[in-house]
Amino acid sequence: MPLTPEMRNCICLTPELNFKEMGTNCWIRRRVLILSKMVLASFVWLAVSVGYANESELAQAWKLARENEMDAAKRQFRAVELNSKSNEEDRIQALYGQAYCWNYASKGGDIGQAAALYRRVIETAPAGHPLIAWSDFESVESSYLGIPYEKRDYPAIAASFMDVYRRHPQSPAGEQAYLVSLNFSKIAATPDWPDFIKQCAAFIRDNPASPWVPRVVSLMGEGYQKMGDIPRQLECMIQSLKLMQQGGDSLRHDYSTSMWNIAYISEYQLGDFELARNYYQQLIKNYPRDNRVFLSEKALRRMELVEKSLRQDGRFPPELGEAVQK
Amino acid sequence: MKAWFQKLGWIWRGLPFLVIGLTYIWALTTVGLRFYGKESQKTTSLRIAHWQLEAGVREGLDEAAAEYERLHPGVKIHQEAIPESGYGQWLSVQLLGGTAPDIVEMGAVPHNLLTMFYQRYIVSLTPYVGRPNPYNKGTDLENTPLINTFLDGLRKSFIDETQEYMTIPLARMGVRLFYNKDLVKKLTGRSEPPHGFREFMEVCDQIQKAHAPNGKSYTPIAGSQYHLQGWNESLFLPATHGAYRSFDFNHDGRVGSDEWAAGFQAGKINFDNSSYRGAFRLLKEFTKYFQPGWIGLTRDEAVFNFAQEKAVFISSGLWELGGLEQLADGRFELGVMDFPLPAFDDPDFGGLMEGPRYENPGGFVAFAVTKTSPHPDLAVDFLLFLASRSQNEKFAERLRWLPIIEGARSAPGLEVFEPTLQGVFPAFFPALGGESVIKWKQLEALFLVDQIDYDEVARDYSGFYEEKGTEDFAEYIRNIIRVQPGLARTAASLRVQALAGTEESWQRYRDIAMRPIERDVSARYYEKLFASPEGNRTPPLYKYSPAAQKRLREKNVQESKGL
Repeated sequence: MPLTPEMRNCICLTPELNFKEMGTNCWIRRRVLILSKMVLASFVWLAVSVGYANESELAQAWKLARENEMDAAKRQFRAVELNSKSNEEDRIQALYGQAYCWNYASKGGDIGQAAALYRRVIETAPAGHPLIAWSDFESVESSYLGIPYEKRDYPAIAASFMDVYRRHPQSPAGEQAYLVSLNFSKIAATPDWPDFIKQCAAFIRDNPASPWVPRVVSLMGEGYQKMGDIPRQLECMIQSLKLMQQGGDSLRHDYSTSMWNIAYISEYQLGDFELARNYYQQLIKNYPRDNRVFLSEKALRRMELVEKSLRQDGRFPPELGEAVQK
Repeated sequence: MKAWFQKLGWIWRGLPFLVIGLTYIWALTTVGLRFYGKESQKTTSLRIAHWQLEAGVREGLDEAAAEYERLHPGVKIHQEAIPESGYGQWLSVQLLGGTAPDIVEMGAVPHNLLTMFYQRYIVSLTPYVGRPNPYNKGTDLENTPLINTFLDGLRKSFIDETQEYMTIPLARMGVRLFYNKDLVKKLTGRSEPPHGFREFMEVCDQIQKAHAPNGKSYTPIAGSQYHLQGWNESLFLPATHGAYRSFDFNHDGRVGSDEWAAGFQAGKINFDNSSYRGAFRLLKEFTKYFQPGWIGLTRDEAVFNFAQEKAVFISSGLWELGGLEQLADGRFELGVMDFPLPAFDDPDFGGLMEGPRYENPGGFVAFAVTKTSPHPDLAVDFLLFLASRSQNEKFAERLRWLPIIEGARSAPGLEVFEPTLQGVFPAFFPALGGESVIKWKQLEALFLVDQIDYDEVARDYSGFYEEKGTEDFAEYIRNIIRVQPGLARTAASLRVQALAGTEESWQRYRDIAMRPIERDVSARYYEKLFASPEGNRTPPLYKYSPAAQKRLREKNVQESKGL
């Protein structure tokens, strides 16, 4: 390209380059200034947006992980980890995300890789970070799921989850680990039911605000049932249902089975017809389309018949036949 | 002639290419206009796709769309009706390719694929179910949350794997008995359908004895493997209900194949049960009126028999009402009645039916909004419009389907299809999986064609179960455990959302958080039950315990004495 007179003016062949002396319409000066401004703006933009960019990359990585595109998600998390040396939170999230992908991939997963990454989260995240407890929980969970069903040693698995609770008490992950531990304790070959009940009571005492309390109360009821203490079992079932209803335990709010179970035990095992009626009626009223409404109405008629027969003849109605244990 | 062809040779040879070329240009133009053509700068297009090609569906949707467009100037709704046979493939391609319409009918693909679609491509409707439907304004549903305006409580719309409400259904269905009114009148002299089991049997007897002008006899009931399902679900299975009290081990008032298998293996339930014996006898009472060789016939062959006026009754669903009416048009008058159940005091089947049958009121024709929709809010709004009482009533009336919105009236004549919400449920689950499914199908078919009797069915199946049942049960347990990693993944996915979300998202997570662990609990529970139900210390089921008897006696005897 031939040089224009303006360009020729701007070309400085001496090392003492002085733009100021070159005049305001110098072609090179204007372009260098523009270029330098652009570079400066790029640095500013990069500096400002680096956090945002990582956040958006993180969100994208989680989206991929939720869609089970684990390989792509892993790459994305890894990229975030490498780009976030100055951002501790992003680094922790990216490490956890990679562990998640290795752990939960339906194909190409690797529990060993996951465990190593979970360990890094546990060891390097700032104390109290919620992902420490969840990494611990998921690490123990993946070990248990890796054991073939036939070889699962439930007391040992229960103990490992209880250790998660002990390491992270009063954290959501710890509380859930406690509940998991209780569930495994109850399916051990020879459960220690008195101890099981004590453990349930301890959880309720130490974590009264935990959202898992209704379920632990329900488990306690199972413990009492195994010990043959039906009144206490029923007490737990009623309490658990009340807590679930108060706390909005389920988004679907379907408590029909709890109501049915309470009514059944009240009627057949304790003979408390008043209580049974109450819960059969609650089921009929709250779940009119449930397939047990017909049975509940039949139960109401049956109880009436039993009471009438007992008052008149002092015996159970013969038409109930086998419904009365000999 | 030859010379003429030679003259036009190049045109003749080029004609196929010309046709192909023109078709290609037409296809390009159509697709191009659909995807890139803008009706105007101010118009927003919504596309809705479904496989309901029954008469009236497209017109019904068009009417609703026109009304919506009037309410929302600038919105244009396009409908795409795809044949059911190809809908699954079409939907998969559209969703995977990111070209799916704004609103799609969900289904026609295997469950696992459907689950994946919900997880990846479908917008959650959970935020809407707790709010009133704005299109119910001015009615008594004005302040009612959307979920409570549905007669099925959106039961099928809640997808376990996502823990979200994902679809809006528009109709309910029912299975009933259709009959040829003219033939009933001609062959039995009745102008009314038979009432109850006994009358129905008499009518079938009369029909079987009558002869057509060509000397051939009539078939009382058009049957096929397909139509047997209607009889099974509406009559045979409800008759087995009484058996549930023997194997509802967790006494939750619900039974399934798992408890049945454990109960059967443990001897708690067997073919000696009077409910089973009665139900099988009852089924035979009906199938003896099916045409000979019915078990080898297809659905269409049975419908053909009915349309040709060779058969008088046929079981079918509401979805086929329009089709059967068309077949009957100008030939005979079509009637619909409920299945004839034996009365409680029936001399042969007395006490067998403990009540009418319970019919699951789940919703049908379920639509969802795709994540690729450029206007998801508008798409949801259109679905809310369709789910308003007035629109649902109009839609159902036009299609002659049952409306699904509380208070929406059914079209006249459809009352007979209204589901029975209070009744008994089935308690017979011989097909646990694996070989037991095949074995059961074989025995059932042999029994229904009179090759073997009930006692032989019982003997053969029990012998088979002794040998193979344990294997099938072990496979069943393996299946329980096999899904654990998937459940753990689903739970973890919701947990991650909850960590970045609200209390509601934690609730959603907690609903399924324990599912992987519950699999171990269930498997061990059933294993114990299978091995030794007594060892599991299950108290006798549905029987008043000695403690209950004592308490009741004391209380009631005292009260009767005025104490």
